[in-house]
Amino acid sequence: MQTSIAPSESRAGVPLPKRESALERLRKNTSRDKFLVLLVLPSVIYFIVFHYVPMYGILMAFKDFSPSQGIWNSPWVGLKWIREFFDSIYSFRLIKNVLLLNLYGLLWGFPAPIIFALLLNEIRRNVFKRVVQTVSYMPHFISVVVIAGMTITFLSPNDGIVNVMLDKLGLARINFLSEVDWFRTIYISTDVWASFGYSSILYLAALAAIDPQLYEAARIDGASRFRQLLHVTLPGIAPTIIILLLLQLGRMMSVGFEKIILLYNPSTYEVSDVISSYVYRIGLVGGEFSFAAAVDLMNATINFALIVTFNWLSRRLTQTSLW
Amino acid sequence: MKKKTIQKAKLVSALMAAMLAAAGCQAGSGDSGSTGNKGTDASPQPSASAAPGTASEPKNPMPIVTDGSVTLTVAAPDNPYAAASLAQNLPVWQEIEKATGVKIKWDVVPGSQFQTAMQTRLASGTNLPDVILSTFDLYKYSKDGLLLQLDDLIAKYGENAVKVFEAKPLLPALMKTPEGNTFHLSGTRDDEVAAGPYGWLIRKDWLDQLGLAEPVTVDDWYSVLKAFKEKDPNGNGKQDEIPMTNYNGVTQLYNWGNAWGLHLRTSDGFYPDANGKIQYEWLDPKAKEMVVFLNKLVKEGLLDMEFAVNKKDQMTSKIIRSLSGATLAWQESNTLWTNKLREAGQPKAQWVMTTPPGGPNGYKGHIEKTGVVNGYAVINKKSPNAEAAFRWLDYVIYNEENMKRMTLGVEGKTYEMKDGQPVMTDFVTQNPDGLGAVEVIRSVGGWQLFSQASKLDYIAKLKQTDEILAERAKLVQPYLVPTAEFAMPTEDEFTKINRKLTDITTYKDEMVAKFILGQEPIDKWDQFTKQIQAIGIDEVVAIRQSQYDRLMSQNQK
Repeated sequence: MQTSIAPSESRAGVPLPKRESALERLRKNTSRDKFLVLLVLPSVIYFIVFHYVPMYGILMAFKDFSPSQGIWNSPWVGLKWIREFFDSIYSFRLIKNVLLLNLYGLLWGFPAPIIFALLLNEIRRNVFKRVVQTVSYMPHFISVVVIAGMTITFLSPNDGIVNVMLDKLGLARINFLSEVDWFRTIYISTDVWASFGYSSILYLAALAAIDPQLYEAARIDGASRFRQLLHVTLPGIAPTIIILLLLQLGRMMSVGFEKIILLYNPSTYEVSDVISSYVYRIGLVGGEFSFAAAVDLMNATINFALIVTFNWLSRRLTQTSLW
Repeated sequence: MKKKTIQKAKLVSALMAAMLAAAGCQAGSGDSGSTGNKGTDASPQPSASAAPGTASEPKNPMPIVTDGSVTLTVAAPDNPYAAASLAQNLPVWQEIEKATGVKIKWDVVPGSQFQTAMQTRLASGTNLPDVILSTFDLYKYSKDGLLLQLDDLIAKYGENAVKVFEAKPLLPALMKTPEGNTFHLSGTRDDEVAAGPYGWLIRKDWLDQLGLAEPVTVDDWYSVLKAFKEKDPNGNGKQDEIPMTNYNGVTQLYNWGNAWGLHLRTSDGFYPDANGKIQYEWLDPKAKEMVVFLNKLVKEGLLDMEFAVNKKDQMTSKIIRSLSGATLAWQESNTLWTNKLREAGQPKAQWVMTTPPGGPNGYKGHIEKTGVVNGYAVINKKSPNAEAAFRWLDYVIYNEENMKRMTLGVEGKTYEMKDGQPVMTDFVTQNPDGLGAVEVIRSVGGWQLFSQASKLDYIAKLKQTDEILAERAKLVQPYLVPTAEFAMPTEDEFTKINRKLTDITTYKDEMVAKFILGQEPIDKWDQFTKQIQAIGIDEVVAIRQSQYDRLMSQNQK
């Protein structure tokens, strides 16, 4: 059917190139690329069924959800749940803690895999390079629970290896996990340790894609290795860095809740208590689906706003952006 | 001061006893009345295909069915002894199937995920089992009309349940919603504390070695722990002892408030005074005295400075490496620790429970019992076998024969009858796999996490596997006091308490942990209590008061 429309129109002999309507163009493109469309269809269906249809549940955030009435028939309550969240004397502390953990995490955690990838890139011996690479991935596969357990054991003020060493050096023992000043350092350094090797994979791939001729040209011009790094390598992976940075910025309001729960205790609440752990204590447990949905929606909205803003900024400043 | 506290305690217990007694009579008479009415309804009951009653017509004769026509889907948190899943049809449940004639189709989730999993299923409201043996309160869902109301069924078939309710009248009152209806059946195990108490455990051999008496007051505890630290009781020539360790974080240390007559841990600080007025005991100056004492212990290295971090594993490791000589835990832990230490070459090692410490003001100290309610069993409103399900629950939770089975396991395997008394077999007391008694019973399907009533005698058999345990349990019995009980909150009360109390608890735990660690100076205590009031403790206390009053009036109905 559709295939016959376009030719018949042209056969009707309209001499001037008429602007086709969007619908027509879509129809035409679809018929032309029908196998490509078929190829993309499963992912489209997947996103509709598993990511867009469930968005209906967001309504829960504005309703007093009760299971027997269902989402639609539960009564509307507007922004009641968000207001309740901000009624807590801790709401701003919680938001601050999430943002600071992410900000410091970004400052330390973001450059680490880039530097690591650059260093690896300079290694000539392939065997050594591959061994280092593989070894550095390993921590990524250790579960959070185990990492937290290791952290607690190593940092124990009584017989943890760190404190034993401090003691031997004649320094005072530190009660690491009970002190406010140490929590962020511990949380972020263990995070960086666990993830830098794995995160460097993308950069290594980007590095491999840089045209070797550029290096050759640089060398002929007399650039030192450091100059090559500065003027060839870094610009080569800059788009990757920016894209990953943008994606990171889109997660500023999210934080690994399990690790917080495993590592925090009341004496460090001041810096360690985050939105998710607070909501957990308030008793998501109590079956407060609406409240949980509202808080989560608030986080997602802020994340979304952040990613849109920074994407716009990046497009203006660097011509690289997610969309 | 001293007199006043004792008087207060006496008054409270007298008050409670009086109320219980009053309620007992009421429940009894109420029941016989309804029996008369409902008895006529019950007689033409078709599905009761059971053996004819013996003396008086039993309301819930077993088996429920003989032809195996009823299968119940039962959702429950799985066996905490993970090697034997309930889904494997364990021996205890085979016996239950035999006795009731009802087949069970288990729908189990590991205990740690049970609440999340069950809540999600209840929220979606579909594909629900006939019976849920829950560990958490399902009131929210009963109000939503997913659960069967049980009041009529209790009157009609609740033969075993009513017997337990008569003995423990607070239980049915605690099961009632604010509207006065019953949607779940709870077991009760508060005698558990009498049989296998929770409290102060200490290494007797260290005391003997250093020539010390068992500590009686908090001051004694201070000097004993000091000696543990300085006199090298583990004999390795180093001062590496951590005299007292713990787990479960700062909240576990609140138990020390018991020495000052406070109820900060199990009751969370909400406790009725002599006039039945709920107090928030953290505002009491005695709470400050407790915090000062704990701060002294930490400062001098007598209390594990990792108290806020320790998980059970870390505590156990310090104990079996012979570093710590005192802790707070359930009495039965003693067996494992003593055995491990002896295996590791300390033949004299002996952990024992000691009496709870008394306060400096002369109060003798106490141990709070656990709450009356144990588990929440509910029936799906849409279940086609609702009646059978109720009768099954009545048997499984409240029947005395089954209480014995759930606590002591299977006759011939885990216990034997000698002179009319059950005696645990070697399979339990000297288990070939080295399991503790509770674990052995769990491995055959008994002693689960969900609703179960039990009797002191049976629990004592399970928890007192040697003479020292039995003797020590008896020793602390005079120190047991009831925990504060509150009627179920209305939805409004629940939300209010949930929000306010989360803030207060966050603030309180944070500040107290810092006071104890010395990170905040104790001079700030007044500021601390003022802030608690500023967050709105009065509102929470008012709600607790109305819950408490409601329970007392329901109890008297």
